[in-house]
Amino acid sequence: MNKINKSEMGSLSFFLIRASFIGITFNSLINISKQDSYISMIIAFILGFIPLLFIYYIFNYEPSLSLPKKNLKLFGNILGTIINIIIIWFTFFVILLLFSNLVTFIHSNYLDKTPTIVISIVFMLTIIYVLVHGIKTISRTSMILFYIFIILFLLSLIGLFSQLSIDNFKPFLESGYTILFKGTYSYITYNVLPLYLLLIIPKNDIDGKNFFKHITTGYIIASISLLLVLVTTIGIFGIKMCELYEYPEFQVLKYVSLIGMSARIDGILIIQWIFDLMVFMMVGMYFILECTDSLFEVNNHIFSIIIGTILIILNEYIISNMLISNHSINIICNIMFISISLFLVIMFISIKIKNMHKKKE
Amino acid sequence: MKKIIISFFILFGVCGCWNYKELNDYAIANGMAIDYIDNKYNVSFLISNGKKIENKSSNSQYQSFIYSGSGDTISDAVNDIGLIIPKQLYIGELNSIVISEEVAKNGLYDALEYLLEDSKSKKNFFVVLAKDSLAKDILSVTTQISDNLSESISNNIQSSNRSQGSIVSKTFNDIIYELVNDGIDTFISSYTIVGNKDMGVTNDDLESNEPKSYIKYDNLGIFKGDKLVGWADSNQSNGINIINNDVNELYLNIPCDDGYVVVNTTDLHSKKEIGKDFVKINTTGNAWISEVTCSINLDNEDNINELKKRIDMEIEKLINAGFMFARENKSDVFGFGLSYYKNNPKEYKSINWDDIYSKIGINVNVNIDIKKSGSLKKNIERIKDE
Repeated sequence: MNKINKSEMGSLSFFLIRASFIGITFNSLINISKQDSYISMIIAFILGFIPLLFIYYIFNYEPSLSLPKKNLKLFGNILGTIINIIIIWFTFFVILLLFSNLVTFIHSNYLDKTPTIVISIVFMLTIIYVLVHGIKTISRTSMILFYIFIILFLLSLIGLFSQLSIDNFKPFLESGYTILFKGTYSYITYNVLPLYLLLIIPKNDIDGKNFFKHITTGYIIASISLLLVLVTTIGIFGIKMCELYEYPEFQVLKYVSLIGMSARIDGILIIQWIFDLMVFMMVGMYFILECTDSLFEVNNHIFSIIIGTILIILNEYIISNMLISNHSINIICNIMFISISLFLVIMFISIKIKNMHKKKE
Repeated sequence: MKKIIISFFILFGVCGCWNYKELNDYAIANGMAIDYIDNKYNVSFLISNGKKIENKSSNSQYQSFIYSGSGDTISDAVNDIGLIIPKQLYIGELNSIVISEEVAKNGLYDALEYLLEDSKSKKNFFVVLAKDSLAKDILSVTTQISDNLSESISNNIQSSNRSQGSIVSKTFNDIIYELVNDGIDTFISSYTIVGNKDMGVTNDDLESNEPKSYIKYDNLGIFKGDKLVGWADSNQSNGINIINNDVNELYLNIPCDDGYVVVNTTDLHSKKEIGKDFVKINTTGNAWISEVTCSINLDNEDNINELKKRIDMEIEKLINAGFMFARENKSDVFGFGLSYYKNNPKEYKSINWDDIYSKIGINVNVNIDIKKSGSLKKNIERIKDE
């Protein structure tokens, strides 16, 4: 098997971190921390190193095994299987949320005459096509998308940066410090904790020892890019207009002007957000496939089509009929934060105890 | 085989065939007018890709058409137009919208909500008011310089904003920003029809050298909340724009003896210090002498100093006029309230800014530098006298 290269791991972590920002974290942040959202993000970025260290520690445990197999080994067959099933359901729910976000975004902003089911099928076919070729193809795809992303992102930034007004960040710390930490919570939940999906790749399948440095670099670049998106959007629109629009980070791209002329390239620039969601979907679905395979030894190709179909049906007939309000986003945020954090902490402690026992023996 | 089937699906899906439409299937709207007639919204669109007109020259042009519809809401009115237009209406290329005085007096929220919701609209088009005429009539006046009036309006706004002090270029998003924020009210430039309104509708007018009707910039309409509360005159409009740093160039006629010294003031910049009792405005800038119709000796330093004083006073007068007018109408078009809130958020919440604004004083300090006395050393009159 071809090993995944370190840079590809970095690009995977980059997209996993960015994926939930559009339509979810951004809205959540500005609703909680208002114009001080950027401070929340900086705090969240620093605190985000804690789950990152947990993930690093779990990576090092049994480097030849993927996460579900590590669970089976660590917690035994019965408890390990239960934990794995919970993780599968949980991951399925997360990718369903992001898939719905992707389809809704494209439907509402571009293809409003196209039935959502057609949009879902088109994206799902593309995702499944990459998925059946395995994690190496997913990571290579993300690497290529990363280069394209950098060009689009720099274009957006150059075209927007001169238009931002510092006044839009005033008054500073209006709602106090506690609000800042509440904003931090949603960023860590939606943008840092999903990095647990990378644990599906056994450490031994990654080329090079210092791959974690690349994951950290991916984390830093992604966080800086998201911070710049946040600062630019609030700096241009002001907080009230950010609260007004459903996707302010998309609306602001309509302001991109290059060499003093309105560029009207928002349609192209927005692809960067679609890349994020696509890569997340690919890694998330790969995670579920590998977990189910290690538990029930099912055929991955057929199972990927089954999962894809279930996602399309659920999105079409259940999620799209639900109003994704800030309240429901907050509830999901709480469930996600508690579940993933608890899981990472339990794994970390269990591995630590096991290692201590080993040393004693 | 599997790959071919998957590629086939992806190929047809990703190319966007489902939403595919030829450009000719769309009626592309460049301009929009919103009127309020008989308790109903009357919406008109200027469609720029009508039928082709063959010219004597080899170039053929698309004819512009106006379609109107009415309804209780803007959406109703747009749907009504859908019954007339044989193509699908596309508003992603709007250059400008004209809003009638009636709509502005009733409130902008209802009128702008439709465009705000529509994902296709770019939201960076210009917004102007129609003064003393229907918005539709403004859109109907054909121009001799440009084939498309909506494009002409947007070009005019951009070019005039640089050279005319009483005009301000406001995009849709600028207005939304001012409407959604507390402590700031919006103000919008207006257009009016000069001459025969009906003649402007026909193309016959284009044949003559002197148009029988044309559209002309009028002054600023100022708002309280989303409602139009007054029309500023030329001096007040200039004053409002100077305080808001919306003036790039402003021509002033300074009286002297039996004529005038005309100066072009540039780089006007107003710095504001906002307190609870008064607002301090420090305005700086440069003045360039562009015309002298009296026998003033501009080589004399005392004369130059006297001229500077008069320019400062003239600008101070404009600022005071603009401020007083806005304050009388309780319209904070300067965003003093918003600035005060940004610097004193806790205090702002404990006071009623509207009450404070209605009593607030102003302290104006103007300092204009005379940079250059034009390209002449003396004017014709003085040379002759000597």
